[in-house]
Amino acid sequence: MSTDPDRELRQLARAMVADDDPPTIPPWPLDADVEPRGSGRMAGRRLLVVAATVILIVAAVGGLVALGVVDDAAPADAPATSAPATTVAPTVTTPPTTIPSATLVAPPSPSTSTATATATPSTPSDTSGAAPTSPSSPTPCEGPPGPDIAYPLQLCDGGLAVAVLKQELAAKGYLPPSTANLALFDDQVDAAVRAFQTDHGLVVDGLVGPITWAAITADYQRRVGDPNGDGHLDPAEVGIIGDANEG
Amino acid sequence: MDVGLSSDEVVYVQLAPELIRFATGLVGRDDAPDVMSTAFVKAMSSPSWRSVRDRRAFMYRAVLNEARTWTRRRATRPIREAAAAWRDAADEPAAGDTAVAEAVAALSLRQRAVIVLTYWADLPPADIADRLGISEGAVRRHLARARARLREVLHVD
Repeated sequence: MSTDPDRELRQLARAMVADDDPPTIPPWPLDADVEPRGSGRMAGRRLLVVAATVILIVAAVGGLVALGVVDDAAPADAPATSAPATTVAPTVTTPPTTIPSATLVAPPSPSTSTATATATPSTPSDTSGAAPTSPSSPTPCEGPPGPDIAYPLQLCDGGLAVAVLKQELAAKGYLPPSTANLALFDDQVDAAVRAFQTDHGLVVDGLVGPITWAAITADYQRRVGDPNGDGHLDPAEVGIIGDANEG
Repeated sequence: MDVGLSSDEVVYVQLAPELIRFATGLVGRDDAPDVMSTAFVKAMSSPSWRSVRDRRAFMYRAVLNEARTWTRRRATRPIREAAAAWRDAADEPAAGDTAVAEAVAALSLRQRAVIVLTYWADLPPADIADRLGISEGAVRRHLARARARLREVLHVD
């Protein structure tokens, strides 16, 4: 304690937090797309409920996908998902406005709801009955933030893989350059993904499964390589890169 | 320690000033606003947000987690190159003082967090443990290692 070691550390800490010149605090409405819940932006509670239900079902279907059901029309190269049973028809445009909310809301229990959700839409291509996550009205992300790394990446997901996705979409001109909410899959991203899918003859569902992911991130994968050498750079691997730096 | 306020905006206004410092200590001045606001957006849109008792502690953890995501992203140079076009000026954290930059580079995120909370926020280990969601022993260990590391790098004694 002869030289008061803490004094230097205090100085260091002050410099670390830029105490003399702290960065500006972003103004409150943090992002137009993701308003805090309860903002009376939508027509009424009913709409919110419908949206929440849709999101729940999206999440549930996402769970199904994670368990091994397919999302994209992608039998070929799904690295994580092994059983692409019901997949065909590359170009099926899901009508954006007609939300089969009645059918979606109807089933009470979550387990049956996913079953019906996947079963009812007669389009063979798209296992995601949840696809119509109304692109017209901004959807507040009320559900749990989705898994960062599991297919499909979709509305309200977050994390590094989403950040990569957004950057690649921006690089291709599908998203305006922006630094806001870099790691959030918001409505804008949803729209961009759909636009990309439309342009590339993919199933237009706003879900980023193996095929869509590979298509959007092809350039990125070329630059970054393939850490585990399985021929893909899937979202899970994106999180691996750079981990070595952390203790 | 609960902020005890209902509106998200009020919570934000209350916590943002200290959290942006915290974030700055973790990821540098340039990324701090993004890290902090992303952490807020994620936290507030999570279903557990409303039932969180200690929102301050919750947000400290959220910022630390977000910083981790950010650091990984930074570590992937190709992404940074892609992102560089979006960002205004500085790509590197403009630490100004090279000694600070070295120190930051030498420390892990947890160590940075502990250093900042100890020497800037003047919190005792128990409070830091609370805030970061780790044990007090872990706080002391991080602190000890951070000090040792800083001694090496900066010859702080």
